[in-house]
Amino acid sequence: MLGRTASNLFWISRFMERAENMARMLDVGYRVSLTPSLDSGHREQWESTLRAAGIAEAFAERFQTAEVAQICDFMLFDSDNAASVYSCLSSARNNARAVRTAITSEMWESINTTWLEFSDIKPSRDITSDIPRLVDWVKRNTAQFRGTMLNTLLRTDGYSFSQLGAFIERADNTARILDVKYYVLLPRAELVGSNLDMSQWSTILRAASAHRSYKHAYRDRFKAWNIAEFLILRREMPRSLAHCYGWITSTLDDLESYYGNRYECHELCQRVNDTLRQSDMDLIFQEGLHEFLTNFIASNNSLAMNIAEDYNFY
Amino acid sequence: MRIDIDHRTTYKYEQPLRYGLQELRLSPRDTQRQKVLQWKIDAPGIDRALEFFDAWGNKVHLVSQKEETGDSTIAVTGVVETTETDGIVGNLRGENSSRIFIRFTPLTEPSDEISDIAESLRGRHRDQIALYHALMETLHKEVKFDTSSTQSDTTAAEAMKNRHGVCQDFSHIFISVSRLLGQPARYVTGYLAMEETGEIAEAHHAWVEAEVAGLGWVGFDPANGVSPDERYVRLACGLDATTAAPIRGVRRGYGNETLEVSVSVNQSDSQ
Amino acid sequence: MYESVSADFYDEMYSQDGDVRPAYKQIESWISKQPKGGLKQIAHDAEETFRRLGITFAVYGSTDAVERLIPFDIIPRIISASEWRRLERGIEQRVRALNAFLHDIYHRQEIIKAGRIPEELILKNAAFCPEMVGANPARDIYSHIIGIDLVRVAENEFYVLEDNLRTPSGVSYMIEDREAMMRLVPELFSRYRVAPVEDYPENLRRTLRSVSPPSCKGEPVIVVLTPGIYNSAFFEHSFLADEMGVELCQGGDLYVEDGFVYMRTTQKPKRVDVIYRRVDDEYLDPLTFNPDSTLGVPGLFSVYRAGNVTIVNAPGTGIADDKAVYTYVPQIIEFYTGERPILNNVQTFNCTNEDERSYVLDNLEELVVKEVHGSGGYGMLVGPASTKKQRADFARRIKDRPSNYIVQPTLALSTCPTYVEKGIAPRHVDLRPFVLCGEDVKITPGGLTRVALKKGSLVVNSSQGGGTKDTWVLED
Repeated sequence: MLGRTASNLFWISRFMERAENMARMLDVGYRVSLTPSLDSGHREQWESTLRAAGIAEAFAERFQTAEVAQICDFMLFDSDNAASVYSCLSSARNNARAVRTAITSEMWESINTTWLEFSDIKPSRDITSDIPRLVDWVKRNTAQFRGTMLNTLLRTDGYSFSQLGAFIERADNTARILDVKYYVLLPRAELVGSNLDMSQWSTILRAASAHRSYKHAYRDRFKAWNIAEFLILRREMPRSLAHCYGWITSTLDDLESYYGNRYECHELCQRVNDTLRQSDMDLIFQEGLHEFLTNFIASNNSLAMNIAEDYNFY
Repeated sequence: MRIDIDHRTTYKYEQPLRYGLQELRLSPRDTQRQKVLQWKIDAPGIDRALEFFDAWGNKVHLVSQKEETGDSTIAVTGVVETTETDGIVGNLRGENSSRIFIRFTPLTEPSDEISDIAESLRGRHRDQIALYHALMETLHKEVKFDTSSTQSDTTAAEAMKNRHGVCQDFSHIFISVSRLLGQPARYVTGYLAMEETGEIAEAHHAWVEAEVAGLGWVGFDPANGVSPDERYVRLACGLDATTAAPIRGVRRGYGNETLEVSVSVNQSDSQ
Repeated sequence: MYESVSADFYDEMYSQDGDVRPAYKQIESWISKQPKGGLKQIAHDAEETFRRLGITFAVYGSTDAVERLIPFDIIPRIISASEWRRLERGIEQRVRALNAFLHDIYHRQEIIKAGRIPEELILKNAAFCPEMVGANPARDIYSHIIGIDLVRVAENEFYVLEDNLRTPSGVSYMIEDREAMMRLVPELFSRYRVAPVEDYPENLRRTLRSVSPPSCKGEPVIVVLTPGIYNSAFFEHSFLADEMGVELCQGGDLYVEDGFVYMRTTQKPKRVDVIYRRVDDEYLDPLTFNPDSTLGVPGLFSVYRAGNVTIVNAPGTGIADDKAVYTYVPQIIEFYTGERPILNNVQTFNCTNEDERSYVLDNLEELVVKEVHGSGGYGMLVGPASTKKQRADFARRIKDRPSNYIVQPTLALSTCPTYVEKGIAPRHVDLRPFVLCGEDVKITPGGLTRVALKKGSLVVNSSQGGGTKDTWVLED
């Protein structure tokens, strides 16, 4: 397989995953803006959402104020924002176009149709009222793509590269949501236990599509400790860092047996996976959650670069 | 005359080179006026070089480099025996059609000024040799030799307009005029053994060959206004300076590259 | 029919008396039996299919959409077996002669020495590639993949409008149009014996395989080289690579090392023997050609000259389809084959000749003017459809640079019934059969029929709003 083909497959999945994450984060930001305001107002909320999405700086460069409609447009439709849903879907499709021969026609049709339909959407003037509908649409379509891929793509090296793209993006996204939101939410000691506090906590979980499953896992009210554990260490949680790295590790093992070679990326992945397996929340909080997540995000980025290097993505 | 040549080109890379590829037109061929006695090219990857003949009849080496660090030097050393033939080179073995050398290139495209020179010469001379000598005289009068006014991508038209140039520019104008008159002419790179002073001389030199009926290719050095004599060693030829360039390459990597060239061309002591 | 057939043009389906030609009888009856809205539904389904599959064509200079569908017309164009046999012989004669011509001008240049074609026209032509002189392509073939543009003006009168020996496109539409027709109207194929076109990719693969370089010992590794997803014909590049089961590469996927071309894979580099490139000559190799090109592979041309890789089509084939050289193709055919040309050239006026130029300037309204180095219907004047201002503009341009234009009479392109918004109407068509030259010469029966969808328009180029039709060559 061409190194570039592997790269295109990796990025198709990564961009589809990013589009979905972007939509989910927008959804959370939107929900929060509907709930009663704290003293610092919604601005802080939106800022943390933009930070979690990694687009706070790009947004600040373009806009002075943070109007809800502006933010929504920026996250969904803005073609100058490389991380907007629009840009992600467009990039996913361009990558798919370049490797039409390496993906199934069902995958292509799913991406192409998603793109064609999305670029046809003319948001109404009051974009905010469209948010729930648009977010659902994006989640449904990206899920459909993933389902199509799982159902049709041959389980060969190409499948592995596309899995790597999806799970590296997902791990990055979960770590960032936790880092940013936790930081924003934690210091508000005076609110502990209040209704407002509860709804704030639930936003973190919602951003990771996990507020219901949390209940199943813990049968307890939202607690900072549990939420962090849920999103970092619980393997059964499909967006947790541990789950992502379990998947990435076994995918890299598949590539090793497929090609018969082990590279730097395997070693790095092993290290990250071991750290996650051997950690518990005591240790993580001792070290400092922020430091832990910062390290994780950096390692996750390095892994993506190592994979690109080891498999000649260029 | 036996001439010793030592020509080194050193590339210094700030950062390791990721990938490099070079075409070397550094292999002189035997002609009526020169015989290559010894010749050696030393360059990274030369043992795995691809050898082929290009459209202009040069023997070319294509060398590739990967993950190179530090400097890389292309060193050419050799001994060439030359004879005086009044500039006549004749035809080289296995040469392609000489007529392709009537084709203009961006560097040799004529301007009105160049056309005027061609018109002033057309039909005025008893033979082609006389015409080319008259052309060299004209150029000598009209264009001043000056190493500071032109670059490697200066065209014949620009050099003619500025009335300044180096051997490359003189050669390009000469070629442009000859092609306007329908006569094949080509750009030649090589070495010039320097001994006398008072004339324009560079160890690394460029001149022209024009096709003359009955004689084959004949050399003219328009920068010096003479026909190449024993002191000239012919290396390669082409449609213009770009296509005849002794070293042409691409590289991939980060950081800057600096280039050092040293050429020494001496009359050999050993007989 | 919604519009009636014009007496000024040959119609593919109807004779002058209004009778249905034999080959079209079944089609005609099928059309007449369609329920109301039936054709519309088929046309709609066809468009949906093409859009979903992403069979698109990028249109240069259009700002609203980067990709567009080429309109597909559901009424096929039919060529009888005997008509096809004659076309086939003519095409084969022409492509053999043109390949012999290419070999000659890049070697001994006998045709120039014989005074049959002016030296300057060849050697100073922008399309002549001097770097190719003395190179020896496998089997002495330069153009392996050729499209010949034909038009019909009468029963047995076809003209060659243009030869395409560089990187002709459109073959994917030929195949996809057939695919669509078989899916949409399978019943029609049971009434006709239509020669297949589906084996084109396999024939292409065999052709490429048959011209592997001398240094290749085992099974040659073939790739398709594309400029990338923004190229107007990217869909076709991807389609052909997929159908042949070979890698679709971009310049960056390939590199030269130690005298061979390799592709970068997720494992070890893999040597490449044959490159079907859809990148123009100029961008093929920044070391030899345009140094600013990022689409090509540095060193590729050197490896080619050394005989370690085959480039298909060879660089420099453009000289054989240059519009100014076109005029000489009949002489070229006679020079290399010793035969009379089977297919006619269109009469062409040379504007550098004073008499011909003054005729041209006096009669612009009836003539077609083409820029020598233009393509795709750009830089073209169709006299009968032009405004006074456009003609004045072209008259000035011809006077300024006469050698930059060729001028031809406006041909009465045949019409073929076509489904348009209001019903069925005659629209002008041409035909581009595709030829493969390797071990032998193979011409796919049929080709791409392009149709000018605008009423009265004679410009069929897809970049100018033309559509395509499935083309049926009937078997005896």
